[in-house]
Amino acid sequence: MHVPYASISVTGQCCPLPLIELAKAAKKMQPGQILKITGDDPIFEVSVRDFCQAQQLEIISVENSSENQVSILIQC
Amino acid sequence: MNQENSNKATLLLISGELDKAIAAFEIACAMAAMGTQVNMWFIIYGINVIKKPVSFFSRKKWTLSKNSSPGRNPRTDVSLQHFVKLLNHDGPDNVPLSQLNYFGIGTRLINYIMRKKGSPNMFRLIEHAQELGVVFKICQPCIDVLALDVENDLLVKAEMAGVSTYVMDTKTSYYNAVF
Repeated sequence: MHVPYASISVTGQCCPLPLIELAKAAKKMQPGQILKITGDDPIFEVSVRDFCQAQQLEIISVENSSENQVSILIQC
Repeated sequence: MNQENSNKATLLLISGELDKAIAAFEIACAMAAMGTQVNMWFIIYGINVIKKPVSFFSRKKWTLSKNSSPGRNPRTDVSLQHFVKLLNHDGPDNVPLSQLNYFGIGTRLINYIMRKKGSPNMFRLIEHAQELGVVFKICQPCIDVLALDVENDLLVKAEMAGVSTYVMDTKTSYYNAVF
C-alpha cells in the first residue's frame, strides 16, 4: 500500500492549472517520495501522463472515484 | 546546440488581443511546467498585455517617460508618441478580443465564462509563467517608440533585447511560434 507524502487537489480547475500545480509540487518533492493529485478535468489524466512522460516520473496508480474525480499516485 | 535535441522554446506575441495572449501564455506555462526553457518575446501590441493597468485620467498616461530607463532615447521623441500611448490599451483585462468583441464588452464576457469554468484569468497566468521560470524579453525599438519604462510600467520583470537575440533564441529552440 503506497502512502503519499503530499497530496494536492486541482478539482474545479481547468487546463493548464493541473500541470502548473503539479510542476510546483513535484519541485518540492525528494526522489522516492510519492505525490497524490486529484482532479476532475476531462483531460486531467492525459495531462498528468504527458507530464510524467516529459519529466520521466513513474505513475503508480490511477483511481476513478465518483463525480468524474480521478486520483493519481506519482513516484517522484 | 542542435535544434532537434534542444529543450528550449521561443514564443513571440505581437497581437494585443486577449484570445492570442491566452493561447500564448497557456502554451508557455505548460511548456515551462513540463521542463522546457521558455523565452517569451513581446513586440508592438503584445506589450499591452503585460503592462500595468493605468487609468485614462492619470498623469502617467499623458506623459512620456523621460528618465534614463533602459532602451529610451528621449532626445528623439515626437509628440505623436502621446497619441500612441493614449490609444493603446493597458493591462491584460483591457485588451480586446480579436473577433466578436460585442462593442467592447467581449473581454468581460469571456473572463466571466472562464472564471465560472475554473480557468485562470490573465493576471494569474502571467504570475504562474513568472513562477515557472519563463523569461520575458521586449524588443528595444518598441520600448523607444512606445515610450515605455521597462522597470516601472510592466507587471513582470522583463529584459530588453534586440532582434539578434531573437534570432539566436530561435536557432537554439525546437519550438518557435508567433502569436
